[in-house]
Amino acid sequence: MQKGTEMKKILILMLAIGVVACLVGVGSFAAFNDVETSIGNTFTSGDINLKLTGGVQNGDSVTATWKSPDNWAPGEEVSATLMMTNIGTVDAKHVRMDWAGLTHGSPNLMDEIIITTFAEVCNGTIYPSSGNEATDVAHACGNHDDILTLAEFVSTSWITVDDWTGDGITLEAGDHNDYGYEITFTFDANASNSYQGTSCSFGMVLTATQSTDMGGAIPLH
Amino acid sequence: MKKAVLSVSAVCLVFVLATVGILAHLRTSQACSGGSSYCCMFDLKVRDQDESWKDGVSTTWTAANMKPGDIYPFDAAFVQLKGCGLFQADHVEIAGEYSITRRQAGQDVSADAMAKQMIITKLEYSGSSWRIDLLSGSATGNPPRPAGYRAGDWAIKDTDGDGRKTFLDFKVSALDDLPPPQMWLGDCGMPRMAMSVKFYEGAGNEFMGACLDLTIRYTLNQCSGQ
Repeated sequence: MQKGTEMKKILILMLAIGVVACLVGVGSFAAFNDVETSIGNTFTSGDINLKLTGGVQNGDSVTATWKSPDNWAPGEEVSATLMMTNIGTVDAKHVRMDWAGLTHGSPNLMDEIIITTFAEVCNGTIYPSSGNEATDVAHACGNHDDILTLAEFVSTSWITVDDWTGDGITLEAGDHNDYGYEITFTFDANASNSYQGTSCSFGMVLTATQSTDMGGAIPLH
Repeated sequence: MKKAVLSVSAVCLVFVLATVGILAHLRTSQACSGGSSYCCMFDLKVRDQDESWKDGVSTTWTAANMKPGDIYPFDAAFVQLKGCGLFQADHVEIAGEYSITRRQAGQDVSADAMAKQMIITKLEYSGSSWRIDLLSGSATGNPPRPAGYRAGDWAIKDTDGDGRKTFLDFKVSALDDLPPPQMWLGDCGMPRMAMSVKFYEGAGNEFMGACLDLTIRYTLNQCSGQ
């Protein structure tokens, strides 16, 4: 009888252990999860990196692209080409031309400097086919006559909406040296003696951009 | 009585052996990474458009030389989820995290700032007969709703109130209580996630040359409380 009671106790104890073990087991497995990842999803923006050539190289910039000789006389010309290239990875749709460092004396020599040639160089070809769009530019600014003075030219900002190739890209990525301005400045042959000894200067700020915001700039051609 | 004791002992022994076996199996699951197709006790496998079922995929969605306004539909890209093992899962969580791995010299662009430029234009989680728009939380085809599902669980929120759902919002507002893969369905019936993005048209020059590395974390949960 006593042996039976002990057996019963052992049985109950083992059952209790079994129940606890089961509960522990269930508890252990009640909150499984598994995590997997999708990695290396990279989103990299490109860049536009404008470089200039023409004149004296000064890092990314150039200086003295158009520089008159000392003692510049009426009727004489200064002609040069400023070329641009985009060494970045994204094409630039537009090139915007703004101005900085405008200086002049009195009277303003810029009024007597006439831009007799303005042409765009696109992929090695001069545009327009006539080789000169100075008159068209003159009509878009200043007094809108046929004469484009330097004073009129620097009075507004300009933007190349599209180069002459029609592909929607002005400066292709990858260093193609594919866009520029050929400009001839002429000291008006009819300038009066009052311009003797005067001087002026300008800085051309060129921005290659993807933005279609004209920002008040006048489109070229 | 002796027989009863032996029976209980046998049951306990079986339980112990089963537990040891399961634990051994679970321990094996620690080595289940690295492209193994081996199914563990409670296991999530993923694949994408060019990788087969395994633990983790890479470079599912990538874009290079982005410029402001560029749109990337990623029509062919997806990550598909498969549950395998012994237990059916209750729900899936999806969360995003990122880091910036490259920026232009002199630019102090944070990962969050770059993430705000990455607009998610489409984020879908779909099964064979249902589809959830994870931008709006709306669903078609009556997807199964896990027990813990609450309104809003299935949508990324515009956490910064800029009117766009971006990677930043994805990081802050993870998705929860999504329908899990049904183990009895074939591969075609397993849920998949698809995404399209756009590089914000107003992104400034400071983001030129920046690279954002996005990791998407898929968690398969067994219980609704998880």
